[in-house]
Amino acid sequence: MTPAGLVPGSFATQLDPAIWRAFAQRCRVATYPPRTTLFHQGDPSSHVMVLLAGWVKVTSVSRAGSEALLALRGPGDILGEMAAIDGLPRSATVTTLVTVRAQTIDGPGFVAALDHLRGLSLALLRHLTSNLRESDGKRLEYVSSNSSARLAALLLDLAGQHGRHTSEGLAIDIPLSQRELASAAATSREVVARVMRTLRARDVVRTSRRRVVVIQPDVLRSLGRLVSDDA
Amino acid sequence: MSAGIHRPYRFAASLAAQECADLLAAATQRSFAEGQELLAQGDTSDHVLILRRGCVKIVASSDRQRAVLLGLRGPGDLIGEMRYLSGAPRSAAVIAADPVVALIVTFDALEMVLRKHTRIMGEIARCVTDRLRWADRRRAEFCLPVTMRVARVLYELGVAAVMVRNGGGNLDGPAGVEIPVTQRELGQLVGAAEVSVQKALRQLAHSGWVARRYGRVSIIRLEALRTYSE
Repeated sequence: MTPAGLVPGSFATQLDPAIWRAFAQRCRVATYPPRTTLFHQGDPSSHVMVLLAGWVKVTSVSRAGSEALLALRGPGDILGEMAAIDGLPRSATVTTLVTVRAQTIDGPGFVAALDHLRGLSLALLRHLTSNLRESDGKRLEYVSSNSSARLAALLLDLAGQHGRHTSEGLAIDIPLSQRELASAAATSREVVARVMRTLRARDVVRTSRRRVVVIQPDVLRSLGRLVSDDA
Repeated sequence: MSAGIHRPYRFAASLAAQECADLLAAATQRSFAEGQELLAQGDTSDHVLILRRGCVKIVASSDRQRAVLLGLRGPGDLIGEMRYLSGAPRSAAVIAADPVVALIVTFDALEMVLRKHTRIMGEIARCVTDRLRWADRRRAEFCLPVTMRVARVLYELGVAAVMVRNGGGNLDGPAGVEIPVTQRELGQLVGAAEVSVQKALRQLAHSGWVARRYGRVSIIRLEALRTYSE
């Protein structure tokens, strides 16, 4: 059996239990404290990790030093697979947000597993194409929206992918700072603070320390559709 | 990010002679006029394409928005493999930017070739990681000044074009390649308004690194674009 508590649709959930078991046997499991760097952008390493518990952020630093939050990954997601496939340096840095448990396999071991385990390579390709579709979708969004629309769309995305139903609404329990939200929505921390203030005032969202609860997703949805030219 | 020399990936160039021969035998060849659609967004056709000649634009639109350029592909590139892998309808349209010659391989025929040459599946995965890396770079650059972003994307497109012209991995000789993108499309690639791209191109042209042509950008000094955008 694949372990419980995996993100629906994540890489591990695409594997049938026998393949998962065979794959897991080739990996070693370890636990990492919050704010540990699992991969460094630019590193020539090629190991691959699958998250079993906890959340990480995937960030990329541009040559001028600005940091972009590319993705959040959680239980069941695979990390570092691109370098194992193409042998190029790491395209991004991966940092744990909370305590993370993950299983690791070295690059050559991963490629051997792809050769030997039917179903593993298909699941990997599905995962890669869905990542690419997500990435293309984000770029469509960025090109034709303003920053508050992007933030609204981001919050909806997070609530949809990682939200937990509570009596209040959909709770996003991932500890993200305003700066991190800003880099994910390609805007400034000041804009995030301003938009969040407005959203809170209208009870569209409620926030506490590093937690966001979405109360009125339909309002976020309509905000996320607003298009203007300030991008 | 340490950008360094950019090495674009070309599907056809990664294949062994026998793999190439078997794919060719499984394919039919077709020509497309400039402006013609090779694939429509949302369609459920069951084939991939391998470009032999000419350049195509990958264009996507969401329900309310005008079409946005996601990327360019040239000779040797594989197109349409996303639907093969995921089964979902085509996520973007593919439009000929030049007169194009392409090989058409049906999913069934591709399946047969893959059964014989399982290694090619790894090369298809390479195509996808290459595009993911491209998309991640564009997003990482989103906060840089527009001129830098434009220079960087023109550098990457220029490298691909020079490699195609030289028929291999070297970047020798003068750049002198034309990239079939309009200023508006460049804006879409880097996430900037058209007026900002106009200003950026004016600056790059003033330095003598690029020249503006109708609906195209001509690359004059590739190396200068690289050092400037690093």
